[in-house]
Amino acid sequence: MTQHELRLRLARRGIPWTCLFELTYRCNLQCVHCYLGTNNPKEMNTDEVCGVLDTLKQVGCISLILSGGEIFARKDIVKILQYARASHFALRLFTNGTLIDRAMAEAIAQVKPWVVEISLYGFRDVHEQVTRVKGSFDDTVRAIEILRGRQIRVYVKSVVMKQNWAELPGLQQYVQRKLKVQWRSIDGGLQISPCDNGSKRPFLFRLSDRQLEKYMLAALTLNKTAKRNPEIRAAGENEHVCGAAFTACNITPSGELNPCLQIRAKDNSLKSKSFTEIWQEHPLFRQLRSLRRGDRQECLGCKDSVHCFLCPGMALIERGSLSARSPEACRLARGWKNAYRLLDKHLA
Amino acid sequence: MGKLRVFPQKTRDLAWRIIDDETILLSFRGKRVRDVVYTLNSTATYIWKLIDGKHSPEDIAGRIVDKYGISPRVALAKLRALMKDLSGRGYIYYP
Repeated sequence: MTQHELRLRLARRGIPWTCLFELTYRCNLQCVHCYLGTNNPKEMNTDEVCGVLDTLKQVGCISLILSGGEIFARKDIVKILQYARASHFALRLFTNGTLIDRAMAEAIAQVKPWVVEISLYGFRDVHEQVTRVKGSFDDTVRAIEILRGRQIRVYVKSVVMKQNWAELPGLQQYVQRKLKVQWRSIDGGLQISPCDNGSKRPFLFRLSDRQLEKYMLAALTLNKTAKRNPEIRAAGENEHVCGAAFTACNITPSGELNPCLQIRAKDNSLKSKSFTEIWQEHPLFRQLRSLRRGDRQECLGCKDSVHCFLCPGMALIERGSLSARSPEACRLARGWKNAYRLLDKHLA
Repeated sequence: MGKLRVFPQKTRDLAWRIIDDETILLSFRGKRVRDVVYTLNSTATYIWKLIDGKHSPEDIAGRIVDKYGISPRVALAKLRALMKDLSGRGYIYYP
């Protein structure tokens, strides 16, 4: 059985394969594109976090992503990591890396995470333009080297923005050849979300159509695996649109259960309701689970659909409906289509 | 019985869940993450629970005899085969 098959099998039994658990919204960097607003909710304490991990284990969730803010800003992070390991999760840690020193790397090595995923937005100048903290590039690169030295699997990822798109192919090569760690595909990093507080400021950093096309072509050229225009798939209108509330969920630092980062529910606190009650009965979760590709009436017959990263959350933000057409998804799909067309021409 | 005299333990770089008497094992050792998920049936799951560094293979075989009513010789043979498989995949080790 593959991991994909396992996800579907668990989902059919009402079990989320993965949970993205935001442990804190505090962060030592101030990234310009960050989706988190200025509102810092009251965080759960160590016991409460461990209680949530118990619940996740009990419902059968096996993959756990610990994210922030910056998870290493929590003083109890090592205790949480040790508890998660003892609960036999496949652990993925999302971090900017800047707070990882040798002692922390040793603690991370002890809990044997599946992977540590670190964000890098460019070379020194661009990276620090984005993070707005001097020295953050060197701190992050040092963390990557320390972790690699401890035989910990590291993926580096990025967000594609006006500030960095032109140097990302070069950064990928630097990460792979010099830092000798994996570069995580950043197709998803093309989607820049608004802030949780409704601010659309991060949209300022989205690429223009021309920049998108150029970036996508460069990315396709660099990544050998992508050098084929994907086949147009059969309709698949009965397929789920995405994994939110189906194979995946999100938990906030104050203990609210959401379908995903983009789609925040209400009346969803794990302090007042059980996980199962919210997961199974909450109207938003039920709605998302019942959503199929074919429900997107405006998208039926779209020739760009093979390139489209359907995100109900983005549609909700842009158009107020989970099943609406998302203009940004359309723009990205057009960008990929054009990039593939140019690549095919180039290869011919 | 050679190797089986020591008390086997589960390896730490492993994620697992027991769901409805079936065990799901995810390994993330080595440089490349393997996409394969390994599952154990209900009998193997019963054994998996007893692989805790506190039970010897003889103890586990004795439990299998009691629970499934098979002969000690068959129980031990089946246990050996399973442990060889789990050990070969790096899911258990002998400290």
